[in-house]
Amino acid sequence: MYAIVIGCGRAGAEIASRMCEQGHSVVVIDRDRAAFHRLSDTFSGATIVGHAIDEDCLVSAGIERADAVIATTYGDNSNLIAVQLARKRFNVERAIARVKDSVRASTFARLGFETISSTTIVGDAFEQALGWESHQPNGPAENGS
Amino acid sequence: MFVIIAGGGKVGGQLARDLLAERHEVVVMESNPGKARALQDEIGDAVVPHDASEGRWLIDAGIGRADLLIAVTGDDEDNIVICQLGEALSEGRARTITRINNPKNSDTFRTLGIEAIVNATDLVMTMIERDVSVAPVVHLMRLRSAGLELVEMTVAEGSAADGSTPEELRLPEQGGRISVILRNGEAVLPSPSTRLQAGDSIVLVAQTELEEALGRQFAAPTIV
Repeated sequence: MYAIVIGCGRAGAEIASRMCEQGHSVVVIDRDRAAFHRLSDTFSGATIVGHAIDEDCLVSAGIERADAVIATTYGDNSNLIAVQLARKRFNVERAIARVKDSVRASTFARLGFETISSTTIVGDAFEQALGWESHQPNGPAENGS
Repeated sequence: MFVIIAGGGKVGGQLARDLLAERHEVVVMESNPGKARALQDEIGDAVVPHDASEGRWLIDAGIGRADLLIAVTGDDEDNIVICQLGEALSEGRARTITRINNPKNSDTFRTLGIEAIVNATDLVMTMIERDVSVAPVVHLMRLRSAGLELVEMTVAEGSAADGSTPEELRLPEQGGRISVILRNGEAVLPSPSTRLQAGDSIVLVAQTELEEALGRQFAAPTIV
């Protein structure tokens, strides 16, 4: 699989490193070169300094032939724009956005975009750890297709 | 009309003042506490000190019953997502208008299906008047190069136009000329002494910039 990971914070570096270990081709984009230090020592993919919704940057990262785009920046909105561009403009098959706001995550999931809400996941995990039933109002951000 | 403005900077603040002056219901959402407080001091409770792209705050602000959502934050990504979120959360009820800060992003906005795009304050105001008429004005045609518009207005009961002749209204000086009056299903060619009646539809060539002022002559005394 050829994947582009946008944002090299903790989450981005984690998924990029894991994918690389599993033998996938990975390109990581971040606007701050220093962020790439978070990647594992064995990371062998490419890194590009650039912005999440800059189309020139996405093209130079090879988005036109990418199988997956994973948007993990700290900005929910940047991630949502990045996955929409990936799907609508570049026809990337899988594009997943990290969205902290659970309402935004479930709303965009209903619109057909894959979102992962770290807030919802962590909330669920705490509830589970406490042995409670999950009954948060917005429901989990189910994946769009 | 109920309008939510996302972004309480210069543009958002000015829009809020203009819309409040036109007696619209307005909520401004501004996440920067300093900016929000400054605007609060001026226009009071109409300011919500939160990020409009945060779903729960947009719901709290009343997106479910909003007629119009205007996204004028300084960040293009935020503006796009706020519009999309607003459309989805209002189930398509709220119309959305947004602003481009970086012209390079305008293609992106279009790809993502944002309805209306503007890049300056005065243009936002023009869009509001055009899309969701403040006065009962329907735009028939725009003659761009000439700065003229062909519009249809309905004479409201008790308006300045009700019972007046075009001459008394001094329409030409105000930048408008009546082409035809539609009365009881019939077209009447107006003379300077033809008295307008409530319920008449007027087809009028108007100067784009003066159209709002013209519209007021035909609107009922209290604009809701």
